[in-house]
Amino acid sequence: MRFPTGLGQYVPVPSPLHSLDARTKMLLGVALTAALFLVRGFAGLIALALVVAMALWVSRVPPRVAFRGLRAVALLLAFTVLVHALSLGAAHPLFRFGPVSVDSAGLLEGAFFGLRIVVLVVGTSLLTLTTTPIDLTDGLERLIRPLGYLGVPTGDIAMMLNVALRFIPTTAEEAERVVTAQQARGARFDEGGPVARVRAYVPVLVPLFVSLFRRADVLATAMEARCYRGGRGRTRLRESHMGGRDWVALAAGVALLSAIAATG
Amino acid sequence: MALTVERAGFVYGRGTAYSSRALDGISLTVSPGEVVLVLGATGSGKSTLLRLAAGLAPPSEGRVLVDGVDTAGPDASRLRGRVGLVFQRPEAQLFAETVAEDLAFGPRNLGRSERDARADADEALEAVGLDPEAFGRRSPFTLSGGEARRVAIAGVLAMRPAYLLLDEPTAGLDARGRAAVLGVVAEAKRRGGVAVVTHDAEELLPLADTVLVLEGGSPVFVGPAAELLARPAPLEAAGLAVPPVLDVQVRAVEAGARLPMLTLDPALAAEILAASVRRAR
Repeated sequence: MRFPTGLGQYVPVPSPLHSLDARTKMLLGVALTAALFLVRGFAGLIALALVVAMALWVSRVPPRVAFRGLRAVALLLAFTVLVHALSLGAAHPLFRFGPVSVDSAGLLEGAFFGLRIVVLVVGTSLLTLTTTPIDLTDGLERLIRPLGYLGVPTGDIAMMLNVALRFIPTTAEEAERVVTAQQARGARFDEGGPVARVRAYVPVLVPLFVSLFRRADVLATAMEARCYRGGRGRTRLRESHMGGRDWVALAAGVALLSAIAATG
Repeated sequence: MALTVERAGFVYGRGTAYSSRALDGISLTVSPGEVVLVLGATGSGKSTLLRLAAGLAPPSEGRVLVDGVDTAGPDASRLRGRVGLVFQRPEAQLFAETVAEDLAFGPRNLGRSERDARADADEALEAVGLDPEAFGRRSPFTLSGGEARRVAIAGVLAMRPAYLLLDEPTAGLDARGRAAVLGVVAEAKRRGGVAVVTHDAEELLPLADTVLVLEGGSPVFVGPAAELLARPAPLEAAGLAVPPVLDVQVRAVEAGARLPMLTLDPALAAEILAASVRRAR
């Protein structure tokens, strides 16, 4: 029994992409997303796909791993392509099923939106594939720090992110323990319809929540016992720095992506 | 009729870079009416052995038979409910609104009728020394540590397993809770075969018939409990504490005292030592 956490998919190989600051990669990810939604034609989309392919090659992440993220959106992908491909009463249908037909324009449109999803998912997974979860939360904290001037408790948000991240493996382990224990009491999790299956998880979720609340309580007390008074003014053991490479990569990346977005 | 582990081995993550051997060449027999104690330090493979014995994982080598049926064989489904496994800190698996409801979970999963499940639940609660009237209606989340542990064990007993496996049943309990759990082990022995895994030899050795001492996944001692009591050296070899009462007697023998036997009972040990002092005068 495995609980999909979606995290921890970091691929530890040395590469120029891995050594960039998390903030650089996050901002480039945002730029890529914006560019993807700005391009209107295939030329721009394919240019962006090539950019992502280049980044993937530079990252030395096995393509098989990078494409794994697509499994989560497989249904969405299939649906997108189908919805665009199918039409009612097309002028020059390629083939038809009863009243519904498929024409080349719809097929092209489906391919365009499908490819956009593929490039988006693969491109953004590069961020989590080349950045450790800790670097990610550190980077996020630095990115949202200016919001502190608006009264947003950025330090506390960062601490919450860190603790949440730390609790993911613990929770998965705990869940697995409870599942095995209930299985030893004859519980079945793979039988019956969807409702029966959800119900079967009640004996897992109740103890899991109870133990998580207990754990959270103990952790909070332990943090207070070590004089935690909120995130304001905390210093870091490891300061991440935006180096020269980061600024160059960011500038070049944003320039390239805007150029494609503007012309494509 | 017995639960037998035959030359079993187990490798975690076999064929991966993280592959690690947890058990190697373990043989063990648990017969009805017998308590088998499995002793070993943390990481010695004790808990893995229980998982194999309960049929939760197939052994990498060797086999596990429950009353002659291979747990990894085609008839394994017939063994549902035959072996009850109580995990470490089992109170973490209580979930229902009332104790009675929680206890009926296992019997219901085995397809017993509502009435039978309730009867099994009450009976199991009595077996662990808790009054079904008083405790059945309580929420499992209001129980004391020792009570919750006993209710959790009762949750497995309610399935009426022929063999009961317990993983560190006394860990983290106060003296009263531990005594109550030891009482449960004695009661379980009347009902069937029992195997208990622990690193604390002192409390459970007096209840044990057979002992298996594990060190790094391999057996360093298998035999009657009396034999281990007479020569407790394997305990030290396995990185376990020799119970202080026993340690005093071992050291007295090393210092030249002649003792007719070694015992875990402090009162008896004092008597034997006093007698040996009287003889020496």
